[in-house]
Amino acid sequence: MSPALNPGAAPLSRRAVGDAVDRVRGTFTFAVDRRIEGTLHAVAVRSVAPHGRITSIDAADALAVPGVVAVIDGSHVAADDGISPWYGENRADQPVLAIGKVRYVGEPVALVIADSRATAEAAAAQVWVDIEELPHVVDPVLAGAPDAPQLHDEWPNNDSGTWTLVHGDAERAMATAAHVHTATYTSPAQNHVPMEPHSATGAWLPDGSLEVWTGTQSPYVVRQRLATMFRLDPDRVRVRGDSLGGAFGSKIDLRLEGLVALASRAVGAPVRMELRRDEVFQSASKHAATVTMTTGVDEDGLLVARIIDIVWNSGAYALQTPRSSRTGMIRSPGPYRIPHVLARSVARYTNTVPTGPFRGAMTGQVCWAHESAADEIAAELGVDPVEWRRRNLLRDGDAFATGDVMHEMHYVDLLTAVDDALTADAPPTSSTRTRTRRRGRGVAAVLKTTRTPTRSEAQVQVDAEGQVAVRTSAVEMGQGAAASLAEMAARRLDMPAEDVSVSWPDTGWTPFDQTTSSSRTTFATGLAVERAASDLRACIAQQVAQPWGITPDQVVHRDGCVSSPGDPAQRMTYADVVRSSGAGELVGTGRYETPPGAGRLDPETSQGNVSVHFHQGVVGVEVEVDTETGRVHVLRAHGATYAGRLIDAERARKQIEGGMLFGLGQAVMEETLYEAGQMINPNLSDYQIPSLLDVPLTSSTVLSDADPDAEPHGIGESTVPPMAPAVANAVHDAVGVRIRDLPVTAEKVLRALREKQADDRKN
Amino acid sequence: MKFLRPETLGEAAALAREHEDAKFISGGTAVVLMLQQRLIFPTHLISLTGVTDVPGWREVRRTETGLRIGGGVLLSAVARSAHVRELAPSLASAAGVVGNARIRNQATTGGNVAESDYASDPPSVLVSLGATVEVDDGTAARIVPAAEMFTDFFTTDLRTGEVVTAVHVPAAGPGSHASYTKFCSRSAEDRPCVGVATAARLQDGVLASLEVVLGAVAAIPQRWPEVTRAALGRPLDEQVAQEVAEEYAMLVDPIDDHRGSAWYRREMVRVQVRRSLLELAGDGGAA
Amino acid sequence: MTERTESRPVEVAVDGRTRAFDVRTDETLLETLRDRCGTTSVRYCCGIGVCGTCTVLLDGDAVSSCLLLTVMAEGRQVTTPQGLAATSCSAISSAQQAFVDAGAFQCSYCIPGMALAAQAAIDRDPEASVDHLVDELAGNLCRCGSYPQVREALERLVSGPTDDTATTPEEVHQ
Repeated sequence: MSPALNPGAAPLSRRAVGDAVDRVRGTFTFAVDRRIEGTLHAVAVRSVAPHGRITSIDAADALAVPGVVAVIDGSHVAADDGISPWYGENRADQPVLAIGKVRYVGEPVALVIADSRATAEAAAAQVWVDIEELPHVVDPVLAGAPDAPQLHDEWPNNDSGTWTLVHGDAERAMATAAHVHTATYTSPAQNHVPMEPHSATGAWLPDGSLEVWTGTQSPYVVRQRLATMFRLDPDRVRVRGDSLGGAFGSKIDLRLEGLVALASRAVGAPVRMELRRDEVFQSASKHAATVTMTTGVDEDGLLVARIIDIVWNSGAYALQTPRSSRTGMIRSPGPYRIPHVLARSVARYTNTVPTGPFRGAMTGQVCWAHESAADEIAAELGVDPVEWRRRNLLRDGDAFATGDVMHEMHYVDLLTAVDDALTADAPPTSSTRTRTRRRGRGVAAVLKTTRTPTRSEAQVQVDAEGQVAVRTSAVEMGQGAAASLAEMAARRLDMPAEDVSVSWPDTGWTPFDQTTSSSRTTFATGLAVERAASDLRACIAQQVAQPWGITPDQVVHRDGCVSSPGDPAQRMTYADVVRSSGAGELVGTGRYETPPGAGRLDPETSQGNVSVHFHQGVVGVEVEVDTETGRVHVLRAHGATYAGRLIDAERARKQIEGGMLFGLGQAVMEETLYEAGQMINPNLSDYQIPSLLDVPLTSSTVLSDADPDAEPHGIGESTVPPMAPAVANAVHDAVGVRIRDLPVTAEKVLRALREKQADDRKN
Repeated sequence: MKFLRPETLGEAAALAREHEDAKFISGGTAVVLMLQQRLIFPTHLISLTGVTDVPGWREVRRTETGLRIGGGVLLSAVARSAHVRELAPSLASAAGVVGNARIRNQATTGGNVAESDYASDPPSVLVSLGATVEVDDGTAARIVPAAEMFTDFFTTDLRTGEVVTAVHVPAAGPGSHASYTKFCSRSAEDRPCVGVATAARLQDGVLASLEVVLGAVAAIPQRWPEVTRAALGRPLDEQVAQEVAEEYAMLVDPIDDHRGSAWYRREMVRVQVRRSLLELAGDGGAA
Repeated sequence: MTERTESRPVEVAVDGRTRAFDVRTDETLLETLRDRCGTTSVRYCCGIGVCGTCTVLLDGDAVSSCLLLTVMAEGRQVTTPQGLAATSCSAISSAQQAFVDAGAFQCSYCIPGMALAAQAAIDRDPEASVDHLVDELAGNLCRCGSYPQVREALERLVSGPTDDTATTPEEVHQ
């Protein structure tokens, strides 16, 4: 049996505030930096066919390469009674290694395990896989046709999730509308492009338990999946995380963890995997989607009814799609007051990379539709698009499409802030402005629900040296979660945040947290931490109150010390309190859980309380369009969001403005392309993300609630989805063409301009 | 794979002739990339960085006719060179937009020519300037016009054992103007969708010579001398720019990829050729 | 190709210290630094010289260590982000300090390479403009969208050290 990776060691814990020098010098470490002595290395042999039956796998040549220890494939997995190889959040449709069949190019078919990564990689090229190709399908609409290739026998019609939302009677109301608008909006598969690739190391310990180090956003989800896969009690699986060099949804749920556990099980030694960039592209994708939206308004332009049809491309395996496609559908009406809504959503399997959450998950696709439609409707009515939104945006007391009565609604103020920023400032000057360059402005708004129901637990402890540590399973991935949690604890304890350390997730030590996604950490984990810190504060006060002859609530906390208000001699540091308690350490615990019933929706109508609160974002941009090339330059962008109780203004700014820049790529340049079932651009030359030269001037507004008891709201995603429609709306404002298919490339704009010129000539 | 570091050009060439699947490597940006992507499987890499007997290997020199840029000169050095900026400014600007700053600090002039990357920026400029390439296999040197050097996608006129020892660029004479335009359709950091190199000489207000060469639209740099010849004797004005652009757009047979369809590339040839020539006119064409 | 790729001894000066390795001839400097030297500041991302997370200085100039074979670095001086200030009396270089002061990072995976590239550019041309530095750093990609703060860092680097703190967004309490 293999040695333990780091048996019994305490969880990693670091100062979260004041790590700037390490981060800039590069001595701040990430999951991919985690190296464990004596590990072997695994490299996946991947399918080169989009769809087919595996007829043979010949590993003899690979096994002959010096340094290769083992090659395992799906047949070994299927024959192992200790393994339940199929996994997935809602349906176990994905094998850890392809068993009998491949369903997308890039699917892991075998694992080569060797003494070095280079050897494993060289040998992987010599595993000969014969595949009898089957017809494939990459388009989710075509995948729904009766004669379409079927990916999964158990899931007919390539259906990976069908949902409806029924609010009022949209079809009847539509018939009464003064004006009806219909259009279809499409958005492509895109890649998260976390700068840090996925990595994981797995080892089986002598006692038969499993330990995995991994760069994951969801340690407890991984633990559950591994426990199921290897038929273990969850307590026998320890998942240890680390900081992530970006994730954006690509590191949620099982990624490499099943593979390294499998490899380690086969060779009896710890095994590490790290993905190359093309493998990152082959591991997770945003859902491509086609959204058809029909909207009815009355004479005053007020929304009467909306009917929405969505087809999602879930890729070859469902993962979260059966749940998340519903979430996306629920957000599809947009942040508007609409008395009658009907939404129908279907997700379909295709022979493409499996999908997963993508920053602003399942919302970019529908926001692209409702915010493009908003401007189109306003234009048809002859109303300013900002004014049209102002009339229709949700306000407190309005009902959302789920029937939720809305509260803490700030859309009108957010919109006003964005509109003011765009119109009040003098436009930036451009030395190259000519008659072929036209400027335009556009806005877009988004509503996103937060993960409901949800649960987070936290501990805050102080030891005899006065060291205060926050223990949670939240993941630091650049959003500043660790710093925010440290600050939230420090404020409750009246001590400097610099003196608080924060654990890195370790399911062996750190308490339950659902996942670090959905902009839920500052809110859900943060509230748990605050409660734990308050609990610790009370515990400390309890220790000194009686000896000092005062009540616990009379104890004064300041700068990591307690004192008695009436007696300056009665003063102790937290360390003194711990020492005098004789307990070794004092621990506060806290938890946050959404109220019972929250998130429970009617299975047919999707009516109910969908979210404990709503993420609200508005973005406005100014663009310049070159009318001869179609090239769109976004000159500036202003983002606004509501933060509830604001924890840190600077980090909020980075999330809001960084979110817009993340959205910029999706707006104008990002798309994973398939030809004959092969992704043809799985690299950062052919798949482009924005560079320093592409980014606009950015600015932001954070609306917040000064009440110290207000709940913090997540803000990490609220400006991502609106970016694309804001850009398309600005392009329309500049040159009068409407692009309904993302990304808004130069070529699409030029084609549309040519068509418009031809139409103008005809008229 | 063996890594060899000969000290003379003769040795290098002999090694290349000796090993059928050997590959020269200079800065390495192209060769290492292809190795990493498993596109090439050489048995031997022959490094040119240890070669000491090529005169001016790492130097930009002024010659009687213009410039001699050694094969080992980094693209960043070409971009920064006062000589190149003075005598061949369009080449300096093309060298300064290849890849990114790190690529330019590593890639060499000789390597850039030998790679014959259809989307690299300098080749079209070299052709437009009437540059010649000095190649040497250790026993004999020959001079190949840049216009004949690039023969297909990633293919050149180089024979086994031949190394690009230098590039000769004729000096821009009085009345000469040249430009390079890199048009990217996606990120500013993208490889070009269309590259346009122009070079013109004006005498008494009219064109005495004109070259327009397209990069990134086909396997090798594209030019139509009959089109540019027709402009000689006329001022470099809007009408000439328009005509040349239209002709080029009609004649080009562009590739089709995610940086632009054939249709889009053709349209961009039309726009960018016209703009480049007008810019050239503004640069002194009208004077 | 059932044999291992040939190895070759090589000496490279890494952050001022001469290191001897026996490396595979196809081993990149990125692999050597990460796997043999334990260098964490030089990072893999794209593997094709596009993104800049593996930036090192080779005799003072920024290059992509993923496109450089270690055997090619024989006898050269390699500087990594974490070794940049190793020979000076301060813990970090002026460019690194500018990034710290501007709060120019989110996940920070890309940042050490950017700060290193900025330092090389300003060292080569102490009078460099912000626009020139932006051009030099345009090939260093960031996915979190830290670019506004990176630009601010470059502005600070050009204008020299100041006491200003990073600007915060307009805050409105309701």
